[in-house]
Amino acid sequence: MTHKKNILLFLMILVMPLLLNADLLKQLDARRFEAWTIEYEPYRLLVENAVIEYASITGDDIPEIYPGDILIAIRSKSRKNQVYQLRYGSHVSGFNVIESEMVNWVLGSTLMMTIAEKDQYYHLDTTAPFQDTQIKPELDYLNKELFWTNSSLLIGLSRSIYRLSNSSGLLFEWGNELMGLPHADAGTMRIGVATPVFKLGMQMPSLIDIGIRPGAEDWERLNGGIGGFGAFNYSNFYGELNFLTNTADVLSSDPSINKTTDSLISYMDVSGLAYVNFGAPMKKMKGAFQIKPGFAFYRIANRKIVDVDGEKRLIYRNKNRENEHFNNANEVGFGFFLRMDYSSALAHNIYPKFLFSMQLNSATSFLSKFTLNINESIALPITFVYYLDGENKDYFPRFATHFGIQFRLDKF
Amino acid sequence: MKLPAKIMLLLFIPLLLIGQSQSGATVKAWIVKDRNFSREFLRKYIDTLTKIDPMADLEIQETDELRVFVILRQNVETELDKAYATSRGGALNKLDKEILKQLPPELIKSLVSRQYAWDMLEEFEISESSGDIVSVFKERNYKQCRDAFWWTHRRVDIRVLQRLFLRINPKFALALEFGQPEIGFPTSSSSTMNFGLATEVFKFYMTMPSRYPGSLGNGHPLDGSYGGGLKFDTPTFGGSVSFQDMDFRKSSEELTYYDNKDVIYSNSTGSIYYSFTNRIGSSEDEPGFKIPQGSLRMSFGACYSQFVYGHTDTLEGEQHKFIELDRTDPMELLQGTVRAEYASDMNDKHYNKWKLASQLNISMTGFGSLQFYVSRTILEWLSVDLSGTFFWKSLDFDTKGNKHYVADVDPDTFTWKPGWLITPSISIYF
Repeated sequence: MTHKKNILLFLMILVMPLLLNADLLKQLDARRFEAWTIEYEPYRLLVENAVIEYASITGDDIPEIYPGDILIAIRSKSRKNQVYQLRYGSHVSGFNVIESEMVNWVLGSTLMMTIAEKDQYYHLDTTAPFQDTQIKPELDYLNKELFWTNSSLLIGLSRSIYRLSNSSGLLFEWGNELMGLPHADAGTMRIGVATPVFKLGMQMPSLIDIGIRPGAEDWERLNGGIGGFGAFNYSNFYGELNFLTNTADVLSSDPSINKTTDSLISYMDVSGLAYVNFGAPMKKMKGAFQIKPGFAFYRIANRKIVDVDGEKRLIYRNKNRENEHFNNANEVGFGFFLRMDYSSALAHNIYPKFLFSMQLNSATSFLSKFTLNINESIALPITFVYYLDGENKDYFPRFATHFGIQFRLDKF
Repeated sequence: MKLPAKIMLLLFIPLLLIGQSQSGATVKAWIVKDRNFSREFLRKYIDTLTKIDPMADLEIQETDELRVFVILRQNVETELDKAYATSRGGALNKLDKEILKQLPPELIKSLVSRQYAWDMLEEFEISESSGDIVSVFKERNYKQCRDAFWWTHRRVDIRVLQRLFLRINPKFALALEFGQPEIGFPTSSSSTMNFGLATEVFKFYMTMPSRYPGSLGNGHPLDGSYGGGLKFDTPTFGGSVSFQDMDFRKSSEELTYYDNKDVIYSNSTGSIYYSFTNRIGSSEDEPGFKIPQGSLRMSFGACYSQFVYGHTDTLEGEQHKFIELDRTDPMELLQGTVRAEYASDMNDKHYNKWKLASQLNISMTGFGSLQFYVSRTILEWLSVDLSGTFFWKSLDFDTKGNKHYVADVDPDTFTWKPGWLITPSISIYF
């Protein structure tokens, strides 16, 4: 795709929220107050204990803070050493509020001042108390679902998370959608740990051989390898870094090499991505919208298998499987990144009927994804990928379509 | 909580639970911070006392600080156990139980209902404490210890030629750190420099080659290249991943190699650990040798790294400068790690007088390292530091089977001796 087309697409996606008449975040009260969620576990536990203690001392019927609750502290910008209000609960079941003077009664002076010093501990800024609660849940759903999860257990082809606690879980991912290489196209799968703020783990060759890729030859994919990955999602900033290697040790047992049925292999040994996230609820469309501009880079290592070893190579095969020459055994790609996510209104205040995403990673591909949630437990995602350099590269198909399935379990 | 106490607590949790459900009583204590309320309460107490005994020796004043101890029982109203008045000089005077009984019930009810400004009592101020009270004071000290090593609570923290943290705003800091301590190669034992972004929970950085000039010892440090990584840390667990690649280096940068005939670098690393924090030490009033009161954080985990050996001679027809001759087996450098970090409690000038850390890394093959770090803060803005690393075993690289091996030029086996290194330093804070 030419640069002009890229720019046109970029502009179209940029103005789309205006065309859809998206609401900007209401920040009227935010001029006087600031709010954040208490994520530092020891302090959170102290607040939970203080609420229980207050109820038992006074006999007041004040609800407990449950482990899965969102706990929000609010302070006035003019009195930064005091917590103005505490809110806890969820966007689905609603929030309990502890008001101004009572916050001091519940927490005591030192704990209240400790909580008020938000910059001294792990917290996440939130705009939840400043918005119309009727239109807020979709944006929260999107924020949480795309990096972390809204479910206790999410099982899907491209991504699975088992939540160990409110702030940690085990993660499995197949492919790398944000890098524009979903499912088998990346040649890798990843396992690790995840939290609402970061995820980290190891990459390995894709062991999965399921799924349909209409429009793609079986050998048109990257190979895998052994390596690591890390990503963060903090204060609307996202960043990720991935690396892997495919040496003699790995080649002998790399199942992704069989797929290309060739002694010429290619794998993405280094890649990275960074973007900024802007989100807005949408009144007319009854949902929420996010736009994420950023940049991405990668390096493809082209190797030839010689005696179970990967040697650097300067030849590749074109789409007709004829040999041609590279200038460099390592190919570097760099470009801008733009993603848009839309969530429809939440059904029963729990799940959206559908999610829609469009993504341009100009280093790799243009991707669109539609996820239909049949009910709160089952979803059917379909992803269409157009590879920008698919005409020339033997490791990218021109097009690929990926079908998936997701199960969500909350009560078990 | 000390470790044995923690184990005992775990063992006796069922008994404790049974005991609690039988007696169902717990004691809670706090300080009344609402001065109007405490004045009102103490005035009524003094009035009642003088009414009963006009000649009573009045050690208690209206302006004293009021400390309250109550008994909580399930399904029973909170009961006042005892109360103290603390004078401005710190004298603790117990309020007479008989006088308290004479006070209006509404006043006692207001006192025990705690619907006024109050504050927690520190653990040592509650004599009935079993030592297992979870308090905000303790958690703040734990966090000080964690922050001291993870990043800094100061605006600018420069450990000369070892690390630099510049907190550009309360959430983000620019971080520059030398070495790879997570795999047992801190500061001077790894010629790498990490530069990036640090936050409360993660560090995202790029790695660059460097050469550390200020060490004493006989160690052959790891060489460095370009790469990147991510580390994360929470109060209970943490981890890291990183990579470096010699293809990113150019020949003009060979000056930073320790010895370009024998280059060793780590091309990928990963680590994961579990941690917990305890209170240790005794107060300054106690006689004899003592560890100042502070927090000790212990971490247990595992780390993985792969080391690559080679040289930088250019062979004909090769486009890259680094020639790989051998690399460690995937499981060879899977190491267990134990780390202890101690920071004395922050004093009234807001600094930790002492900071100590030690870490042991050991692999199945016996290769490993012991590292230590000692820091003594002298002034609010200055501390002196000493750190070091000792490797007790060498690592062999077998080059003969490699396709790049050149007989009579390359050694059949290269024995790498990381040795020991000691690094003195000073730190400056703003």
